[in-house]
Amino acid sequence: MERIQEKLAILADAAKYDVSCASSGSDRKNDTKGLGNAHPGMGICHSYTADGRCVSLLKILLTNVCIYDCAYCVSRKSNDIKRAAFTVQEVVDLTINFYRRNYIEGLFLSSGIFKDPDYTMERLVRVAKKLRTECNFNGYIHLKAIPGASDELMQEAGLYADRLSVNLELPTEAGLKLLAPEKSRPAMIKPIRFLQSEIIRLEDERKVLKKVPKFVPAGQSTQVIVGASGETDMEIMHMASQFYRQFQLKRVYYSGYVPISNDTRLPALHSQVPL
Amino acid sequence: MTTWLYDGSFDGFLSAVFDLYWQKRTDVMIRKEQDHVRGLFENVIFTPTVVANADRVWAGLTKKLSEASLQQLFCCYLSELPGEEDNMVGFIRYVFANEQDVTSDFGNRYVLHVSQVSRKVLREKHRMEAFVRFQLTKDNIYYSLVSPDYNVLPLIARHFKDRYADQYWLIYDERRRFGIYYNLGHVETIRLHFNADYDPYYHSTGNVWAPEEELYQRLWNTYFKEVDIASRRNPRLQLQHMPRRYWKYLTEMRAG
Repeated sequence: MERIQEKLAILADAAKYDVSCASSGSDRKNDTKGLGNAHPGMGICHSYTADGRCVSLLKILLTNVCIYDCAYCVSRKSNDIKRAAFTVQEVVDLTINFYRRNYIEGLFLSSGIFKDPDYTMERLVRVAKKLRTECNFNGYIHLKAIPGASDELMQEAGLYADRLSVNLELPTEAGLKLLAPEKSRPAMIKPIRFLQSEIIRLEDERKVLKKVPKFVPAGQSTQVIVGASGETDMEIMHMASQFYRQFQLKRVYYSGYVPISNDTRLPALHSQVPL
Repeated sequence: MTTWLYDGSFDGFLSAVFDLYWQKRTDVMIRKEQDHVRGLFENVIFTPTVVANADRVWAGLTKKLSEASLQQLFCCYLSELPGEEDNMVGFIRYVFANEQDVTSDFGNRYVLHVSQVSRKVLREKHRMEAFVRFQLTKDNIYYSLVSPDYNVLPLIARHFKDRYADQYWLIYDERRRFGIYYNLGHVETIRLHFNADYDPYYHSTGNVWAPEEELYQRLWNTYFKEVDIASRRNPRLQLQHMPRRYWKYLTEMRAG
C-alpha cells in the first residue's frame, strides 16, 4: 500500500466520529470559471456508507498526533495507535481530485493538536487558503477552529472557510473536567465569541460598504459528544439552546458516543450507543 | 379517436398541442412516433414539428405559469412514461381554460399528476447530481456513464456546467444513447459510437484512462471503507438512500 493511501486510511478513520456533513447554507458562486460551486440550494450527499450515513465531504484530520489526552477520543496521546500527518499539498490534491470526480461537495478538515493550537490552526488555514487562492476552488470548506489559536488566525480562517466550528466536546463542564482535564469551557467559548462578533461586524459593514469579503458565509456550528459523561437530556437541551441563542450557531451537532476504550470513567466497551 | 404521432421532441409535442387548438379537436391522442405500436383499426397521422407553433404554445404557457410550474411540465415530458402526453394535454387545457393560477389546484387530476410525476423526475435529477462519478481519460476529459430512470440529462447540465466550469466533462446516458459534453464554453448534446468490444466500465488495464485515475479511485475506495463505523452497520438504510441499480456506476460500490 502506498504511503498516501495508508495516511488517508488512518486519518479518515480518526475523523469519522466527527459529525457535521452539511454542505448547504453557504453562498459561494462560481463566477470566475473556476472549480466548484457552493451556491445556495440543496446540499448533496454523494454516497452512503454501510452504516447508512451519508458522505458529502472529504472528512479527514490533518494529523492524529495530539498533545491532549481526552479519554473519549481515539487520537488521545496515551492511545497506542498508528500516527500520521498529511502535508498541506496532499490535502489540497486529494480535495481537488475527489471534487473533480464528483465524489464530494468539499472538505471538512479537523486536526489533532500538534505542538500548540496556533501552529495547528495555521496549517488548517494554509490548506483553505491554498484551495481558494491557488486552485480557484469554490466548493465547500469546513474547518475546525482550534481553541487557543490567535484571533488573527481565526480571522483569516473565516475568510477562506464556509463554516467554522469549535467543538464543545461534552455538554457539561463537569464532564469536561473529568474526561478532558486539559481543556476548558471558557477557552472554547472565546473563539466562538470572537467569530460571532466578526460576523456581526462584517454584516454591519456590508450595509454601508460595497465590497466586504465573505466571512464564514455558512456560519458557525459546534459538536458535543452525547453519552460519554452521563449527562441528562435536560442538561444537553439547556446547553444547546443557550448556544443557539447566545452565539447564533447554525447547528449544534450531537455525536453518539461509540465506546472505544476500557477507561473506567467511560461507558464500557460494547455498551449501547445512545440514539 | 385519432392518434397523432410526433417526432419525440418537446417542440414536436407542443406543435401537436397547437394543432389540437387550431383544429378544435378533442378526440386525439398524442404519442411519440418511435414508441407507438399501431392498433389494427387505428387512425394514425404524423404531425410535423413546427417550431414557430411550439413557441406560441410555450409563450402562452409562460404567461400563465411560473417558472417552477413550467419546469414541472417539462419534467413530465422527460419522464417518458407511456401515455404521459394525455396528462400533459389535460394539464395544458386546464391551464388555458382558467383565468386564475391553477397550479395548486390539486383537486384536478392533471394538476395533481403533473406535480407527482415531476417530483419523481426531480428526485432522479438530484440523484444524478450526486451519483455521477467522473473518470479522467487520457484526453483530459472527465467521463461518466449513467442510466437514469428518467431522461434527466437536460436538467442536470446547468448544475455541472456551473460546478465544473474549468474542466472538460462528458456525461453519457447509456440507456438513451446520448450524452452531454462540456467544452469549457458551453454544453452540447452528443452521441457516441462504441466499438463492439469496448467495455465502458473502469478497468485499470487499457490505455483509455489518465495514469493517475487508478490511484484516485483507490484512494476514494479506501476513504469510503474507512469512514464506515462497523459497530453501527445498517445496510438497509444504505440501500434506501442508494438503490442497487445505481451501484454499477459508483466507483466505491463497484469495488465491493
